[in-house]
Amino acid sequence: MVDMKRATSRRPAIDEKLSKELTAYKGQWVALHNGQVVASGASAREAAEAALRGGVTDPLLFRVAAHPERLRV
Amino acid sequence: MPWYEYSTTAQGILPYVTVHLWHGSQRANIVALVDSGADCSLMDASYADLLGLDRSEAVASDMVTASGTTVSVLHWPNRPLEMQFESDRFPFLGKFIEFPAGSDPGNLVGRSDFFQRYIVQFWDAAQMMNIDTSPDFPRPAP
Repeated sequence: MVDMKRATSRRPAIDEKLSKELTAYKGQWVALHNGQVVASGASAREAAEAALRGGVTDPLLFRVAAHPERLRV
Repeated sequence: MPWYEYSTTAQGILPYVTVHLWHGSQRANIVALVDSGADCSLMDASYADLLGLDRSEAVASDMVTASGTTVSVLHWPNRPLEMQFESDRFPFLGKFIEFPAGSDPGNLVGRSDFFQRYIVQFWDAAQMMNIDTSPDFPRPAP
């Protein structure tokens, strides 16, 4: 039953491969496109502008936790 | 709506979804934790800047988080802010957090809007969740 659901489920917002890639960006804002980091920066705007320079106009943006071992706010 | 797989993060395997915030024609694409314990949706204030919201027009208040930290929150009650999940777009009733320096920002979708719109079944054992439209709202077109 789980496998049937998994076969038709939506992929995770952050998969294992991307999660490993994000460890190199702790504390930074990243711009993602098609599940890959396409740009990063010190702010959301900086990451978005860097992505735009690379031709990505509508990236997914978020800040990677600097201290993931801490509890979330 | 289908089942959604939990995301793998450095903080563990958690129920994240991709949502979009709209302010008029401006859009921000965001990864947010589905948090039934959050009174309202909370987004990093940096997205407000991306959406062209003027902080001088914001209604500001303080909020104490679950961890006991006091943070400043901003909202723009007179601005046409919307959240989009999949193809479904609805009013965003959440707020934006100005995180203190040194803290780790996170985005949450909470009860004031997301959980009004959807019935969410968390299935932690399978690391999946089912997100279905509430009977109070029309189902989005497939």
